[in-house]
Amino acid sequence: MASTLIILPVENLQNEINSIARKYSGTPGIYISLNKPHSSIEKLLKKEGINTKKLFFIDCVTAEQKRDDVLHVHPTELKKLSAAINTFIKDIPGKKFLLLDALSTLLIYNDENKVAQFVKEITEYSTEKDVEVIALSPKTKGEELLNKIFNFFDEVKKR
Amino acid sequence: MIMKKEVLLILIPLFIMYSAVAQNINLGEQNKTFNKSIIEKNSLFDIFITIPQDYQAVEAGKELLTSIKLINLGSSGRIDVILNIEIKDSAGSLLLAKKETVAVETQANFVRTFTIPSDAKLGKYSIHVKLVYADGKEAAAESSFEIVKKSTAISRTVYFILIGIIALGGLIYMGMKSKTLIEKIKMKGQIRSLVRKKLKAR
Repeated sequence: MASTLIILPVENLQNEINSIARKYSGTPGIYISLNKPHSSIEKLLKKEGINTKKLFFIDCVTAEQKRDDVLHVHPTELKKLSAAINTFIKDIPGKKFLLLDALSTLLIYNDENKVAQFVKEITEYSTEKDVEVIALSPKTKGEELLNKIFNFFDEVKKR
Repeated sequence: MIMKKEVLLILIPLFIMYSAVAQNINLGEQNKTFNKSIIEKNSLFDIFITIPQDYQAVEAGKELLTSIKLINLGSSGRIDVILNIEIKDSAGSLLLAKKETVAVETQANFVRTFTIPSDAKLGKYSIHVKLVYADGKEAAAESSFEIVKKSTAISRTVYFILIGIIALGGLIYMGMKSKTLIEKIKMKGQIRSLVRKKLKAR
């Protein structure tokens, strides 16, 4: 299993999310939503006919807990976020994937070293547990800040 | 020969009586302080004043503790005596004076405290106790102590306050840590039940 960072124009972001979700349809996945509330993402995916039943959302946008099946973590709480990801990885049996939408948002709330540390932790843990990691980042959002994070991914794709 | 014996019989009691003057001299503490009992000729009272070791160096504004012992060697029965207590510096200037009447039967032991004025100068001081009883007869004793500079070390109260603050800080820190830990455990439980629920529903 590999970890991939995809840097793409912001207007293509949703299409990329849709294609990833479609590709992994039927496989349990952990969706970390940092840009939009999980309800919007879910709505958009369902609109595209993508099955979201096996997606576990970690909503870092909405503070209020409205549904029991969604975990809410503030983007500044990187340790909590890392612990939540690790627990999901541990508890979901079999093949799974992790989608980070979008990594650059973490750089708005946190120091780049802390984000780098977080990325290192989750990519290492995911590799260890055979989990596919896909991190997205729009080109416009502090691309230069991603330099420190590049090395932790097996592959960096620029579109 | 007989003459020599008589002279010795007179001289020995006199020697014993007058040597008592030096009996209570405390040569400890590098001669800094002393306790002295002066038995006057024909006195029926013996008097001692002692300053405990902890009080031989006091700070201005603090209390000086003394222990006074009176022994009635002569008269039988209760007798009222007057005590004149004076604290003087090494130049003989009076710092404090106190007068009181005490009833003594055979002997009396009591503790007296004196608050040293906060503006008292540093140095060696002596405390004199003079006992006056019937017909103006007297007995006296004295002791010495030193008024020293206020210590700059942290007082006990400040020390305990600091310990209290540190302990409180520790408790708050532990409380916060345990709160985070509880939150983490709670979150893990939530994730576990969420995964179980969602994957069972397939």
